Amino acid sequence: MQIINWILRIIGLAFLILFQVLVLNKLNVSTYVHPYIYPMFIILLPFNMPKWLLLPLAFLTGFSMDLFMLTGGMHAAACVFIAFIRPYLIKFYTPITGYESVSTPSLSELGVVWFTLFTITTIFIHHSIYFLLQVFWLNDIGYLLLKIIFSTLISTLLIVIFAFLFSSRRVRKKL
Amino acid sequence: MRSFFSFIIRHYTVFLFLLLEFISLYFVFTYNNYQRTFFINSANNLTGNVLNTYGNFQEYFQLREVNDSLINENSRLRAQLEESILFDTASSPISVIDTSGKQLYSYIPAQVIGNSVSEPNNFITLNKGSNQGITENMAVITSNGIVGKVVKVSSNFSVVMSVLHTQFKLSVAIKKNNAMGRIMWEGISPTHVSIIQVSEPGQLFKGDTILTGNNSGIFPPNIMVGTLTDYKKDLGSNYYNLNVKLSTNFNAIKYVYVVRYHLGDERDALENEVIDADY
Repeated sequence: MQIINWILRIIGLAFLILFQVLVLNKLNVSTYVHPYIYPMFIILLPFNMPKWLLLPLAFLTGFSMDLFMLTGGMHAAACVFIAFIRPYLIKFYTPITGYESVSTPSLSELGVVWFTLFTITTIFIHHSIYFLLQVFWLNDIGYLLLKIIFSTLISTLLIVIFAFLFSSRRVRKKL
Repeated sequence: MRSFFSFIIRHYTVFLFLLLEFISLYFVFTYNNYQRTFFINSANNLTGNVLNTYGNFQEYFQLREVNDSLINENSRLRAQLEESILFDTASSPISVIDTSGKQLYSYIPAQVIGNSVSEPNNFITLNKGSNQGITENMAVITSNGIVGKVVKVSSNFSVVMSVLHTQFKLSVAIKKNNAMGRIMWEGISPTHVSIIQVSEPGQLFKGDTILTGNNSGIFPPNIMVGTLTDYKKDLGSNYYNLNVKLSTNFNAIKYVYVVRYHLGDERDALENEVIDADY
């Protein structure tokens, strides 16, 4: 069961990266909106994942994005950072009932509100680091902030929609 | 010593985190200096093939635009044929080749399979590489204007630094009076660039044409760059800064020409000799 889960995760990651490279990167809606949804892979990893595995996995996820986008290690740096603070975020967002019966951050079991809050925080940190590394100097801080905010909102929206689509019908009815 | 190791083991996540961040940032900073880049990029085979397959699909949806641009270019070239020009018998005919009668520039057609416009540093991936005669530092143009220059080549793919890259450098000239300037992209709008350090541009009007200069070394002269939208004097210096609308639509480039400058090596060697001799 565990192995099947992991195979599904890897297929999901491949899909997310292809969707990112072939669809989202070609949209060019505006220079302020540049969504990245592939961090969804890191968001959906199990809660009890050991950190020695979590950090290198996040690094590889970001680095594969860097290979496609020719961005050096910017995605890798942002991904390693969100993987590092993930345990603290999970602790910060503990629901009143705790995480007793839940093993992964799922939309169905923790609810839309919890999932959206967790996602938006993670994505905001990811985008802040990525766009900061990309622009690298702060002479146009308004542009940078607007870009981070708009992109975070769109990315979060897309990730929640994807999470909703991938959940089973039984779960969708429950929501 | 023992307590030192136990300290490291207890806090291994922090050290692992710092190590991975260090590696990432090292890649960022070495990569920005693109000539020293050492790790595989999208010119490598896996990512190149994915982009190529996608490009094959996408081609079908753009046939109409491609046809239009090819027809336009054909008609433009036809107009330059010898039959299309009425020679004044009193004066000598105009020659298009250089003084020694050799070919000066040749053009390798290529297809764009990867492209971005919304990053601060944009690159374009082409489906041809060293097997087809492309080398680094070749200029890339379309029938509408300039595109960029080749920075990395593998056997079947090449990566072009777009004009929309903050490190792209090219000297350009205003068509009507040959005032020189330098292209600089601020990293925001994919349709406009700045031309900086223009001295004494004379009277300028909106819509004035900007062309590539004579001294770029890789770009042929008189290739369209764009049209003037506005300009202002740079306070504190005697230079003018121009805002120019690019004639190339970077969102829609599909087919490009890679320009081979046949005398490039000779020119570089001579110029480097002067620089090395330190006059």
